[in-house]
Amino acid sequence: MKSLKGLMLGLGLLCMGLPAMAVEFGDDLYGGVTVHGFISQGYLASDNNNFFAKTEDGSARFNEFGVNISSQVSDNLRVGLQIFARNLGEFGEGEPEIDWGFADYRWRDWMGIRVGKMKMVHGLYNTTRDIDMLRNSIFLPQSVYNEAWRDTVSAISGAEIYGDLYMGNAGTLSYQFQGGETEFALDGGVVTSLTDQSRLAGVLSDPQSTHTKHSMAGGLVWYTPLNGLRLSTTAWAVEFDMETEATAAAFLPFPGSANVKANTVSRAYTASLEYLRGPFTFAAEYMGNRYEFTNHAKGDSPFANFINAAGTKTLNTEGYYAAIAYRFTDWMELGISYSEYYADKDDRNGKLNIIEQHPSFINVPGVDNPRKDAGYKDHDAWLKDIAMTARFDLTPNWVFKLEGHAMNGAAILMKDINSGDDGNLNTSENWFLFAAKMTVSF
Amino acid sequence: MKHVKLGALILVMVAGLVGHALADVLIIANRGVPVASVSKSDLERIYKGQLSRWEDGSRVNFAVLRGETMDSFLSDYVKMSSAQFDQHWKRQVFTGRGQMPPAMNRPADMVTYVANTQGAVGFVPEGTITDEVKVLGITP
Repeated sequence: MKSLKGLMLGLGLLCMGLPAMAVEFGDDLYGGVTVHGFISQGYLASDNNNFFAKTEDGSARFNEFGVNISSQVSDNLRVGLQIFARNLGEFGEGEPEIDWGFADYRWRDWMGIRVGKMKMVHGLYNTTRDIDMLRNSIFLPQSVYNEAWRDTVSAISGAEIYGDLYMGNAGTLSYQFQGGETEFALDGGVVTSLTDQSRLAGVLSDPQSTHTKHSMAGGLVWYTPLNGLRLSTTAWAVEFDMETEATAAAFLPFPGSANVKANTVSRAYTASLEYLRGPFTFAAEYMGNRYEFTNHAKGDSPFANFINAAGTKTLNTEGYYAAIAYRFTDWMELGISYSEYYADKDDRNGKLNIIEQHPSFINVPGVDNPRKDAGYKDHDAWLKDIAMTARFDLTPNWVFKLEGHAMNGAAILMKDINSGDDGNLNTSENWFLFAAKMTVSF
Repeated sequence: MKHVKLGALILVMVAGLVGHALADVLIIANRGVPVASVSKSDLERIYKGQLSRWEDGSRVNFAVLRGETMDSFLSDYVKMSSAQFDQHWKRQVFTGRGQMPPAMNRPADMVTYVANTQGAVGFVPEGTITDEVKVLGITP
C-alpha cells in the first residue's frame, strides 16, 4: 500500500506538470507528428475469490501505459502507431507491444481502408477498453468484455474497410469490416481458460504452440435521428489451432498421453444501445458466443481414441448488462451497472456438475463426477455483478475512480489462482471486489 | 456534402435570416472554401469527424474555440457538451482513428487559424472581426 500511495502521488505530481494538449512536432496540417499518451495505475482488493490478480491479498498489479504517434501525411492518408503495456495480475506482464499501428487511406467519407494492426470491433467499447479515462467505470461489464479474452480480441492484424453513410433524416450508418489474424498467446486468457475446461473433461493439457487460422470482425453503428441514441451490432469469427501434450486424468479409465491438435472456433455477436441525454449516459449490450471444439489426438491408444471419439463439441455462452451514469458536475460522475454472464447458456444453473446430466461422461464406465471432484460448484456457471463507480475528473487530464462490485457466482475467474492446495477449484458464491484507479493522459 | 445551389442574393438572405437567428455564434471559413453556407447537419458531421470533404473533394479542416462560445456552438450544432466532445475525440486519438482538432483560446486566434488554413471552418462569437475570412450562412 505504501508503494501504491507513492506511485499515485507521483502520478498526480506528474500530471500537474503535463501540458493540457498533445505534444506536436512540425507543421500542424500535414507531415507534422502528434504524440499522445496515458498512464493508469490501479489497486484491486476482494474479500473472496481472486479476480484475475491475487486480489484477496490486495493487488497493485493493475496498470496500463500507452503512447501513440500519428501524422496526417496528406488529404487522404494518415499513419499512426501506439505502444502499449499492461499488467492485470498474471496477464500482460508489463511488456510493451504494438497496440495498433496502421496506414489509413480515407478515399471518401463513405469508404476508407486501413492496413496494419487495428483495434478490433466488438460491442460499443472494445476499441477503447484499455483506455480508462474514456469511460465511467474502471472495469467494463465482464459479461460482454471478459478480461480473459482481452489479449485475443483487442486487435486484429490485416485490413479493414470502413465508412460513414449519411442517410439524411434517417441519421448516419457507420460500418467496419476487418479480416486478418488475432493473437492467441500460450500464456493468455483464452488458452488458459481452454486448458481449465479440458481438465474438467479428464484431459490434462500442456499447450506447446498456437496458430491462428483466420479472424474476421465487423460492425454497424446507426447514429439515429434521435439525438444521442446510437444502436450497434457487431460480430466476430476467430479460429485457431493449439498443439498440446495431453495426459489422462487419474479418474479416467484410459491412462496414457497423446499429442493433440485442438481446433477452436468462436463466433460471437453483440447487440448494443447507447443513449446520451444531458448528464445521463445509458448503455445496454447483449453478447452471445458459440464455440466449436474439435480435437485430433495422434496415435491409436485408448486415450487417443477417447479424445477422437468426442468429435466436435459446441458451447454457447451468453452475457448482458445495463449501465447508467449521471454527471453531477464537470468533475464528478456516478454510475451503476448490472451484468449477468453464463458460461454455458444451456446450463445457467450449473447442473451439469451432476454426472447424470453430463453428456461427456454419462457413458464412460468407472467415471464419477469430474467437475465435482475438481471442486466445481453450481455458482461457477454464472457471474452476476452489481457495480457502482464514482469518477472524479481532477483536471481534464487527471482522472480518479473508485468502484465496488457486489458479485454472485464465479464464472470467468481463472482457475489457477482460485484453487486450493489440492489443486481443486475453490471459489465462493458471494463476494465483493473493490477497485481504485488513477489515470493521467496528455 | 449537400450544397444548396441558390443564387447569390438568396444565399445572402438565407445567411442573414437563418444564420444569425440560431445562436450568438458566427460560422467562419477560409476564403477558399467552396461554399457560402453550410447546413446544421453538415456542421454536426464535420465536428464529429464524419464529413471530411467539401463538395469539391478538398479536405475539411476545423478547430474549436475554448470557452462559453464552444459550449454554445456544440450544444446548438453538434448536440454534445464540451466534455462529450472531448471524450469523442479522445476515443478517435487513442484508437488511431483521428486527430484532436486544434483548440484556440481567443476569437482572434480562431480567425487567424481559419484564414491561414486551407479548407478550414470554425466558429467565433458575434462581434468578432472577421475581415480575413468569410462568414458562412446556416441552412436547416
